[in-house]
Amino acid sequence: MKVLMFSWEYPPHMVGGLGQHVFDLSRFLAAQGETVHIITPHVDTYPDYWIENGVHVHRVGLAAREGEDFKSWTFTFNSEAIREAVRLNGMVGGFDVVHAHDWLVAYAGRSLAKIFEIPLVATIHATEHGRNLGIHNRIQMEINEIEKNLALESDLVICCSNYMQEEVCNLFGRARGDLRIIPNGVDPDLFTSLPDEPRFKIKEEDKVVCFMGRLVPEKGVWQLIECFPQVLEKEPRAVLYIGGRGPQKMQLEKLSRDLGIADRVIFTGFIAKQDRNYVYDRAKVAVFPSLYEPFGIVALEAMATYTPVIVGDVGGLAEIVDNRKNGVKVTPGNVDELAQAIIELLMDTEFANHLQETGYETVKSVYGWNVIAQNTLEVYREVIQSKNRLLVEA
Amino acid sequence: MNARIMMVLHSHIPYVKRQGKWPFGEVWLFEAMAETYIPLLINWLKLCDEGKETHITMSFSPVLLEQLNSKYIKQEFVKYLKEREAMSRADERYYLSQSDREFARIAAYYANFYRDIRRDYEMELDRDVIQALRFLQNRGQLEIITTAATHAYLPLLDRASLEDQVYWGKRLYEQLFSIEPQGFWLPECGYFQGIEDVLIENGFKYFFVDSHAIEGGKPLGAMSPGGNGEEVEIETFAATGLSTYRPYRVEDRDITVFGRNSMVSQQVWSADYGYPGDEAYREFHKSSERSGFKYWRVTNRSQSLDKKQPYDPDRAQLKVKQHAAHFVQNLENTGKRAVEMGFNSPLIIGCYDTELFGHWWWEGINWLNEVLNCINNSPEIDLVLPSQISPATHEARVFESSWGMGGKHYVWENAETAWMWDIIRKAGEEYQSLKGLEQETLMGQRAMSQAIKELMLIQSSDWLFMVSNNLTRDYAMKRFFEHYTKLLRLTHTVRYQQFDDTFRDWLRRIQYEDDFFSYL
Repeated sequence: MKVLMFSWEYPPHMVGGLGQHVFDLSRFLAAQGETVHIITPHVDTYPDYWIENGVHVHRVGLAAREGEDFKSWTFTFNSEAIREAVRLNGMVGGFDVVHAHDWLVAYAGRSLAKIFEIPLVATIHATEHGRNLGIHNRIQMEINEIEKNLALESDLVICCSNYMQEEVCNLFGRARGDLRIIPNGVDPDLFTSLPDEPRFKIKEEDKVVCFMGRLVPEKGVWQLIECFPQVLEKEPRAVLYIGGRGPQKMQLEKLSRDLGIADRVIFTGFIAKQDRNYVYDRAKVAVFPSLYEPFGIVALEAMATYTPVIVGDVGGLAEIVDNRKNGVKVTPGNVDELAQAIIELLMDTEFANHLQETGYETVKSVYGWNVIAQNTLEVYREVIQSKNRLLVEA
Repeated sequence: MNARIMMVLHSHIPYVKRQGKWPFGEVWLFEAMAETYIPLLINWLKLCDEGKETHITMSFSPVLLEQLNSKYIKQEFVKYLKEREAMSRADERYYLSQSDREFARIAAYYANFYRDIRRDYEMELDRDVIQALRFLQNRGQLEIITTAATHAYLPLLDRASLEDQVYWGKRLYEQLFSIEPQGFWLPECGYFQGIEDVLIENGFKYFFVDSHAIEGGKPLGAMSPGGNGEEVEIETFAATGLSTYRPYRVEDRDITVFGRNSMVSQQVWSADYGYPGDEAYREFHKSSERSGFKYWRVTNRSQSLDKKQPYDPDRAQLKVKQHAAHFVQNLENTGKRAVEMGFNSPLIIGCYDTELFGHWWWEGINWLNEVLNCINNSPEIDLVLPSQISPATHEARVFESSWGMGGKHYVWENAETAWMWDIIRKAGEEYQSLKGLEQETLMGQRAMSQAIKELMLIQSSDWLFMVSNNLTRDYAMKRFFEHYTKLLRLTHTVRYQQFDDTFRDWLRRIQYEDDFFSYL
């Protein structure tokens, strides 16, 4: 099967989880013998075309940038992506399916699929409405509209969780029968390599509690810091590592100073893969107390490193974690409950060890990329078949 | 000498045939046909019968004419009229069942309207709008001019595309009217120095610009409905001492330029003090949730939509008579003042979008008819057509300008649309890179003639306008990207001569879909 993917993110250009997802999905599809071409924005010093893990990666337009003219840049990128796709389609003798990831490539996906009469699959990873807890201004309205039309015009829509399926149904009015749920995947092999010389040193006696992710309100880092004095009261050796960056960083640092625990809360800033692995390697527990989370890939990543997880009982996280079976769920925003859960996992080694094993097992059995690539192929086959049926009828 | 009044109506609907029906697409064309074009033609045919002068200058975009002339559109339009009639009858029954006699009466008024329009369209016009236009033009009642092929905004277009837009605008006109067009309507009055050379090359004798392009000073501002609420810097143009009361020859060129009179334009167009905002007139912005019909009158412009009162056609008709009389009185006064200023038989030029009458301003059809009748009866002013004007004796240098907000290119070129111009430019280059090559196969020739249609559809000013104003934005962007993708598929296939069966079948389908300028 010949697959054409449009994606705004692809390594090394990574903003959220999208780039990693497309990277893994495409290489596992290629490993199963499918031909995969990806069209993604230009990245300085990277070639316009190369084959990576069997995947054809095409970079077009100008390097991605966020800023005032981001919208303008996005649409220009779409036009360049279309141009490249027209060329490739001739070269490969016609793609069998077009797969668009999120609104940033909506017009490229829609036009190409329509004009070349190729079935279109769209993955809606998150929505503007969800990201902003509502639609508040003109640009959000426009993005919401683009997401809606992408969801409505695709032959089938892939979402990563029941939660996202509900959101896409309710927001955009797409019938539930036209949505397929395929979770995001995790490859445990990507979490094993450790740095020769870590950027920061974790002391032998420290009991590490960690968080990874963007520092934005919806991730609940505020509540995590707020509960930490209670944890320190029971376990003075506890240290909180916060990996990642984001607009809320200054406020969060101030909060830990105001609480008098600045020496027990470490902000690593941007964290490289190997340093991240190092933190997970030393962590007793990973905490993701999100208030909104379409999927929650970070929890799976932690589980893949044999780290017990505590998650906010919300969105996709709630679907990944079976409470006290492979992790612990807490009520989003409840500081006391969060403190209690962390203390329990720091104190009760037996329970923590149990969650390590069951968490890892979950990753392997449900969220392995081989399984996900298989399920995605099923969706491709489905849209191709129904397109063929339509053509025969016509 | 009497003042001379030149009424210029510019008509355009983008190419929507087989590009969506409702809520976006063909319905736009059907509304304009039912509410504007057909009522106007019927009125003018009647005036002609009565031996009165219509003397209106009409511009039609070639894509609009092609659609009006399409068999498919003719059929679908009749279906549309039947549906609207049935729907208004259903509304009437509903309101009667609710004992709401007032709304039932308005519903019946609409039902009769659609019934009459269908009768007029089928019986009077024989479904042939072009034929009626031809007839009125041959009788000297109308002077029909042309414009850019797909209504591209010309000042920002590359030279080769500009030439194509003008050339095909002329060719289509000749095809339909069997004579050469004399006048050219610059879409949105978009002018830059140099465009007249392309017009002269194609044999045009005159064109129109906004007032400030001739006189200088402050542009009138927003002439089109919509507006995205942003602050625009309004440039003040240097006062030239020239006047739109007379035609000019463009400096060192053999072509006439007519300047729009700001007063008579504002009187009709302005949202704030123009006639259409009168409390008795039908409110455009409020529609029934049941059926989409508009049951309310403007009432009070400063109040919200839920405060609107029911519409009363009889009451509106009284206002129509007053406003028409007022307008003609104004023309007479303006003419007198101009004569006092030393202009011998001054020229007063009113330029309007045709769809303003009937579609936007429901009573505009009757108003215009009253105005024509009054002018016919006025001893002081006469209607005039461009061809009746003797050659201009004065010369003018014309400012780069348009009739859009800010007086220049802002409405079509701004932060929201910058990326579109980038694509328009690339699309032009893509087509031009193949244009000169001889196509040896029939398929190659067909692909190239389809490619220029797709290119011209990309260039329609409508997509820019919709994106600028955030109106039906997704439809505009979708069309824009789709025509671009079609163009690239065509040129790529031609470049590598990859003509296979799949391509042949596809080409046949899009020739059917984007089907205009069939002789191209």
